[in-house]
Amino acid sequence: MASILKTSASRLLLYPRFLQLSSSQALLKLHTLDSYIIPPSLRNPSPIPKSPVEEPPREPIEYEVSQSPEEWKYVERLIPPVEVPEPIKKDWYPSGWKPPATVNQPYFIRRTKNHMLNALNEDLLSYLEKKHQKSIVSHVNEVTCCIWLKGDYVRDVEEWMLSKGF
Amino acid sequence: MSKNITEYALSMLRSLPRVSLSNIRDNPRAYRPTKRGRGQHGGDKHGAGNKGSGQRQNYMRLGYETGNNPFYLRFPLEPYYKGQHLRREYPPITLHQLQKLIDTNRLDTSEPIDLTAICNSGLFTILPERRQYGFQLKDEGADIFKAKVNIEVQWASEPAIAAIERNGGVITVAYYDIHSLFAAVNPIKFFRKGEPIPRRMIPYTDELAAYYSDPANRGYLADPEKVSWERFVLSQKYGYVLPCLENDPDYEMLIQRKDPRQIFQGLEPGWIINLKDKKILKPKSKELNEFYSS
Repeated sequence: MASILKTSASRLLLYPRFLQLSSSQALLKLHTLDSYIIPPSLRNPSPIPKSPVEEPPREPIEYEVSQSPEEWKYVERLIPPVEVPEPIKKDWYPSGWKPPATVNQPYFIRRTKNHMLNALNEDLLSYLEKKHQKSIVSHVNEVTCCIWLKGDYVRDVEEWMLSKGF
Repeated sequence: MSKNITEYALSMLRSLPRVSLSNIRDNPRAYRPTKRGRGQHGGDKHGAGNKGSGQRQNYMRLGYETGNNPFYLRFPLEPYYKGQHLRREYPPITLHQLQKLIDTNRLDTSEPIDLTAICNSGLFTILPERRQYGFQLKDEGADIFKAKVNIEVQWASEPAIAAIERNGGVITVAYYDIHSLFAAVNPIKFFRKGEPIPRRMIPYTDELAAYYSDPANRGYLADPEKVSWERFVLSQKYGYVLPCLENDPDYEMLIQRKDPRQIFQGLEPGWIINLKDKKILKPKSKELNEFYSS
């Protein structure tokens, strides 16, 4: 009880509303919700009175408003597209980029990942080993559905996937 | 009268004073004050030993090795990162990547390609706050590059320039200062600030000014006649026939170049763009116009 009284006395200094009350009354007040509601004028009182901020006088800047569509065309050019644009269909692209072959492609890759991960791994390895004439170390992680290959075969794997139509 | 406990809590939060050192304390038993030892085991010397600097609390400074040259003073400062904050970076973009962007329709070749266009594709970014001054065009993929573009980058290697010109394109190398870069990299964010479009500043060092005035680099400050001579020289060096730009149907697009003080094609410095009402505010005063056009 003594410790509570001690802390309450220090709190009295914080909340000026309680200065008019006796300590026991103040204690009772402190432990109710009403005691926490302090009017905005009394919250965080600062010792320095606020003075109005003076801004230097400015001449009003004259401007003209233009709504010409030719100029607005240049502004619209700067707005980035909201969606990724669809590539234009062509037979061959100089960069070697190939669009996905079939529409069911995402489904096929997922199926391969979940049920035929080892089969995919075997196919991939046979292609790579044929190409490089050396045994390639690979590791299949079924939980996360990934195949790890030891060595620099990124380009070859990409080519193989493109040839398969992914 | 039965108030929701959440509403209770929120109303409390609204009216409670700001948390400060005066209304905060540790959890009980979080901090235990140390007590001076008493008795047979904690008393007598109180853990300070006998005589010497230990008992007299007159310790040697940290790192002192009783007189010999201490480890922390043996080796002089190696200025690894001196001037690091001033060094410029030009994130690379290869011709192969550029070709891929064009193939997948993420860059429009019927308009001039500049820093803003590449950033708007969403695949490449420039961070001006990290002293990245723009893109540099690398020559990887010069063999497969087959697009006719009017491109403006911030640095370009010679084979890259050759590859672009061989396909009938035009390449310019232009400088953007940091303030203009913030505007160029994200124009919409800049327009929303309500600030007038700034003038693009000229290169701030002699080295940079020399680079951007050199026609061999296709600098934006170079003499156009000398640039066309250099185009011919490069074609002879790399062994291709220089396509005639005048006969090209896209001649007008290819010939478009920005003013050295312009950040955005078609928009002049000093203008304020109102995106919401689709209006452009231009200053009328003579002094402002003179300043912005200088």
